[in-house]
Amino acid sequence: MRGLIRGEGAVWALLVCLSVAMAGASFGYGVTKDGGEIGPGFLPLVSGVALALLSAACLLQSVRRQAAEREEADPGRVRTLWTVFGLLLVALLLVPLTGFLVAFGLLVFAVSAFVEKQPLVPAAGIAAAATLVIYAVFVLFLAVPLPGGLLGIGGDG
Amino acid sequence: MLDNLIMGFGAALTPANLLWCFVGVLAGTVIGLLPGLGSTTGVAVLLPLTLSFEPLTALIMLAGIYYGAQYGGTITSVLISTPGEAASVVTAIDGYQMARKGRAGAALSIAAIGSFAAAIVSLVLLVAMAPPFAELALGFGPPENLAVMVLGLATIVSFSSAGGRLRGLAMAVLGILLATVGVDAATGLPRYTFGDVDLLSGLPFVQVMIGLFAVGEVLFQIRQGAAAPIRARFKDLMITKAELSRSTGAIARGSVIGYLLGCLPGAGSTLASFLAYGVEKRVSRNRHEFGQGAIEGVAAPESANNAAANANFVPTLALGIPGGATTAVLLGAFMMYGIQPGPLLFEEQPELVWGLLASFFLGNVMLLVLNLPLAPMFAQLLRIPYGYMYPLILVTSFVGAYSIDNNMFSVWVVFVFGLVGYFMKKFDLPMAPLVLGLVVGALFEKALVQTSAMGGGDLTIILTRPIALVVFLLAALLLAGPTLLKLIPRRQKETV
Repeated sequence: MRGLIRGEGAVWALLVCLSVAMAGASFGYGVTKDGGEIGPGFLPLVSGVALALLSAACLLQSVRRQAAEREEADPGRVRTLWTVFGLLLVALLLVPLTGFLVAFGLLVFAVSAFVEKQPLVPAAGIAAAATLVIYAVFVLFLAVPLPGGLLGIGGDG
Repeated sequence: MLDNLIMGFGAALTPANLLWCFVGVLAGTVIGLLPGLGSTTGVAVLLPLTLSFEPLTALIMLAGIYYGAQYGGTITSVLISTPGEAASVVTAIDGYQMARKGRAGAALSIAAIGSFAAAIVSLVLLVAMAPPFAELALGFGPPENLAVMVLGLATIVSFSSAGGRLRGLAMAVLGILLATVGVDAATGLPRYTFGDVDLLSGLPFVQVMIGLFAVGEVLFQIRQGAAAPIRARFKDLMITKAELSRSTGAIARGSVIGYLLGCLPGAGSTLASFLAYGVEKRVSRNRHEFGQGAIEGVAAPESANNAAANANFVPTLALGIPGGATTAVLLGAFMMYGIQPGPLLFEEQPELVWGLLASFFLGNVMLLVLNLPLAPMFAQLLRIPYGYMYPLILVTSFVGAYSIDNNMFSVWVVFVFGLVGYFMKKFDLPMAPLVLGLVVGALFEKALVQTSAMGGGDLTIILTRPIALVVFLLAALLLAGPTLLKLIPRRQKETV
């Protein structure tokens, strides 16, 4: 089964689980009210059941054609993709510490310089320019209180 | 009526009004360019600046921000597949494909031309039919609103490719299911919030859109080996006569659809743009090109959302019921200036009402003059190597999302839905039905609950409402029609 449900099939299987769980929980909210009118659980129940059925049908379709349509991506690009995604996660986790601007400035620099292998000086220049433009537009002009983190750099309006 | 219009142009054509209209259009365009900052935020942020203005001047500037921001959202939809607002989602489908083929300038030009034409059509319709349409809109009850939303969803599902209709339907239902997260509007009961305060107001759909479209697209492009810079010649960025003539019908149909849906309170620009795209995909001679960069796929939804934006003022001005989120903020502005929208407004303050309506036309002329020459220049942004471009897209997407509600929850929503968007692109799952389901989900449930209450729990009340019934049948036909049509020749062959 593990070999059968992979790729797109795994997405549909996940949706079947999600919709069944949400439909199941909908009973706790009350599907109908005393007068027989629709309650808060009605739409989650109906849409949950509908999605479970539709996802199951799509799962069957994808399992049938999976063998015929197996596309392999360049492993190097896939590694780059997950590296960028990991760096994004690191940037988000850094926000409470360094503040929004510093965390995302570092993200731009790290992606440009180390992932995309651009020369260090232009990459640093672009990161600094992007950080300054965002500071000017969002913090100074629009008064958005970006989190300053423990360092308190360039944030909190 | 003509006298009123002449009076309106007289009021709008003062140097001060023209200047502030231009400032509004320009500021709106810039705001619309920033991911997450749409017309609603733009109007709300700049509202305090207008407090010292004359009411008409202030409203003209705020209306300028409204449609300027919509065009700004179109620019990012086309260039980097990042819609600024839900109404621009459908433009990203063909607009972005046109950009990848070096036709970004043409896509942006036709969006400006379509918006301008829609402004003329909607102005003519507003002049001729605003009061009767306001009355008709008043006759639209919950069953009719429910039917219109089902039609919108059916349309978007039906233009998923034949094999993908099931997947499109699944995505639309997923959107509706996700829209049930948060406090139930009818009873105030929190659903699927797991005690998290941020989830009480539901999944924020603008942040979801930024994640799905902007971050999802970036991640997908990285996997594909990064999109090459577009090195189109300057003359290739200009719109051609053939493209203009291909778009004429799409603009006309989009404008009328946009106007009709824009008159309905709550339906708004998003449904209009989706519906116009769906109709065009059915009737266009070039329907096989849809999804791969058909210019009609940009012209129709852009005309529709602009016509709807203008027509949104019908329920706002004539009934005091905002047609959408931005007109709700504008309604607040009306109150601040001591103006009471309602049926008597057209009679009591004709100069203000007709001055504002005339300014839509003037504002759209400015938008056209400003953006036709700028469109090819905006398109030059695509010459920047993607290795430099995508970290900047990521940062502006996240900071834009943060600025909507000023909280980190928005940023995490973008992160999670960025991953979802990547997998949706990887497996070719249609995003538009998911977004529309999420956007209309709350309104859909409200209309469903109200319909149920009207019938004392009996939903068959819909069968007694002729307009709702016809719209529901139309939706059913859209969903089941193509399958039924396929069956007919088979039966004929079998009988032969």
